Amino acid sequence: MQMIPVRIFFEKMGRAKYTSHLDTMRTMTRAFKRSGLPLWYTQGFNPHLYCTFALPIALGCESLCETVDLRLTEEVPFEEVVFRLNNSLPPGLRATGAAPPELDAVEIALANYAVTLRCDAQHWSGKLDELLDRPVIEVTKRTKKGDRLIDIRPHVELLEREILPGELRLKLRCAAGNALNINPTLFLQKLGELAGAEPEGTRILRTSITTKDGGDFL
Amino acid sequence: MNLYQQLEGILEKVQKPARYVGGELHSAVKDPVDVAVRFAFCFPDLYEIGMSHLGMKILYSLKNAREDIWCERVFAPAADMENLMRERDIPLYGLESLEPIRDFDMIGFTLQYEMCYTAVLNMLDLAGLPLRSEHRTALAPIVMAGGPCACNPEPLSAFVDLFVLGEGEEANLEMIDLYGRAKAEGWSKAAYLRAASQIPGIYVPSLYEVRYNADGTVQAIEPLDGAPPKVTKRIIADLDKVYYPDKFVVPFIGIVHDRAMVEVLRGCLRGCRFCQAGFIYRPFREKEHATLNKNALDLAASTGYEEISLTSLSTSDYSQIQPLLTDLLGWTEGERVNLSLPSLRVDSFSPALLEQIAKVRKSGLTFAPEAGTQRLRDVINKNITEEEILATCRTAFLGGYTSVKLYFMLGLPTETMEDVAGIADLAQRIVDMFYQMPDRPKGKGVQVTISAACFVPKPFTPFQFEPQDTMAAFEEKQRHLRGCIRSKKISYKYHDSITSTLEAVLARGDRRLCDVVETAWEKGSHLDGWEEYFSPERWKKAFAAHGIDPAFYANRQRTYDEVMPWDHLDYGVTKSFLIGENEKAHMARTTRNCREGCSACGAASLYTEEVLPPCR
Repeated sequence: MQMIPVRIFFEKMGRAKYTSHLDTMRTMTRAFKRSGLPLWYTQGFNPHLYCTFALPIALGCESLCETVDLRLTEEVPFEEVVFRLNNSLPPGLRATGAAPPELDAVEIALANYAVTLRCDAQHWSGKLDELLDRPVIEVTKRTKKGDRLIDIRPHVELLEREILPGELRLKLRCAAGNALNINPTLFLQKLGELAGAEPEGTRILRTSITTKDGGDFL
Repeated sequence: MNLYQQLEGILEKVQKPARYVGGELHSAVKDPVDVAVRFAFCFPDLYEIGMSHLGMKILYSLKNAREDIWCERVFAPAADMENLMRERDIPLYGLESLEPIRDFDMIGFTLQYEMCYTAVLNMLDLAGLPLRSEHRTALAPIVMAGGPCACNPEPLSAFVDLFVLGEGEEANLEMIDLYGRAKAEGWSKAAYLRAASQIPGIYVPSLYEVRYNADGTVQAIEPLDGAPPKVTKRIIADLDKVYYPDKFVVPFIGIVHDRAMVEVLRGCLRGCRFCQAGFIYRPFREKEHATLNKNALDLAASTGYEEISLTSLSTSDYSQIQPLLTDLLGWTEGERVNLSLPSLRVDSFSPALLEQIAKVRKSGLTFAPEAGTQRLRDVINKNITEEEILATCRTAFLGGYTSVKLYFMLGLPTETMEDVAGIADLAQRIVDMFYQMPDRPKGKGVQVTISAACFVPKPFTPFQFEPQDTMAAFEEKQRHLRGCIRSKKISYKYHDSITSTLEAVLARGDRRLCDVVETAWEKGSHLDGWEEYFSPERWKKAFAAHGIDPAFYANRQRTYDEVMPWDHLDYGVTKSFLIGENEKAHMARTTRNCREGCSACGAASLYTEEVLPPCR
């Protein structure tokens, strides 16, 4: 039996952001089944669909750059893979492309985020400068091995800022990958503490995942 | 304008936010301007429970198949979400439109268990509606309810405008169509309810007056305004032709029964005397195996589910089980779909059937002997012998199974301490048999789990006259059973008796309990089905506040000629049949099943079509 690896690029937008990674996996698995694509199953005692996600987005955040790898047993044109998948995906999840995997997930180093905070933008922007001036930003990161205190300052970079009436828009670049993954909410929580308030609304959109030299994860 | 923006602010703060946003595959999204009637289908429990319920899936799809009806799903929020909704004035909304259900035309609840009654009230309150029917004076929204507990809906009669008795596929649409007319012609709510009471199967409690005797029992229930003296439940005469969905809403989050389900049959031909479902869903009707195979194919293709379950009260009684399994196994393996067969009976568990199940999956086996001795099994008409139980376990052990779960009830009528000890004896004999088998599965021990629930007498069963054991009696029996277990291979799980006591009160309650339910809700009972939210103290206070003794409802022996609070409702099975069955129970005499011969329970009278399929 042939085993053709395919990397699917997809978006997770709108209400779909409330689906956790585990539930997204289940949702994608069912969508693959409905699509009728020739799927490859593991050949063990308890065969299951091979599918693996490179860097799943956190619950509550949207993303334009999710990937899932799967394997097909027959050659299918990539446009058709995308077309058939999009016919079976629920609203909010949309395949944007399919291609042979080029890079290994260990090469992921950075992720770019577009953040929109509904708040008193002038006040928050001032606090942002204060926060960025600090040499060290210590936060508690919850990991599988328990809570850990880390300094996120070297791992968060502000690329752009836009001050609008009632809205502060930021472009952030954070460390990403298996070894160290910084969720921008850690940074935004610190900012909120300084601003002395919670924003009225927060939207976090991951726009791209890159290697350490800035090339897209393909 | 919907609530999405407001929700965004709170969903990041709650557990499992996907419960509250909808947007799942196959959820029905319509444009409000295109529909005549908007219906909120409420399940008074959490999303994961409600989304597992087959009846809701059927009625949701059935309504949405009509272009002029938009049916949305609504579930009870967990405490974290409820608190935030109340804090920020977010009213209860439909998951499809995210619009407040208080603006809908109809709000329907399904009543699957008594402990959900306060959740019904809580959902009405969260919607921003007055709880009591009489305080909702406009035509919209009409609040209705159905489901098994609608067979005695009296404890909710002050809050719900109308109840649909029996199977809902036809009655729901008739009720909605009449509403459509009422809305177009500007009828009052009273006019609509009067007209609705003329639809067969629809019970409007406000059109009945209940009088009581000095001793607190019901004296008479009188219809008003031309309402029928008896409301007869609806059935679908030709089950094979009834609407069945070809799609289910596929949830994002894991739910309790996360699989495709096909409904094999309705009713049950066994007649176990404690079992309400066995009586209120009569007559026994089956679907054709080819229809079921098509239902399964459609659902597997549209949902992508990896598992299909053959659902009914007793799937192994399905007369076409072999051809159906042959149909299904012809494609499920290739499609990598698993089959699951819940509700198998001990006596119909053939080696051939076991082999076919084993092809699919090897999990534990579950049997429900219900009682520990043959005498008591005869009393409850559970026509299974100990030899059959042991033979089935042997078959299962030979097939490689090593764990068996057995379900029992404590507090069945006529039960003695010998019967209680019999539960432990039966489990012990299964363990002994395992070790006496020379060809038992090697290298593994056997594990027998006993689960013993507290018996709750229910309306429309032969035991509707029986007193329930007191909590003290239940606890004594639980202690006795635990003391009789000698082997480490047997584990014993028991249920909290306080919940069963409350269920017994509500199941056979009358209208005077409406005040108690309302007070329990006021005191904070919002989701009583969940142990972490349940407090017996609130209920005790609610009973005390209204001077009502729960023992009057739970622990009192009722005479055969007592007027039951549900005597004006007709589920086909006659009271004289129930009395006869009760008498036979006390003589430990069994009744044959419907396939062996008709025992004239009365359910056949429910067929009103020209074609009368026999109920066997």
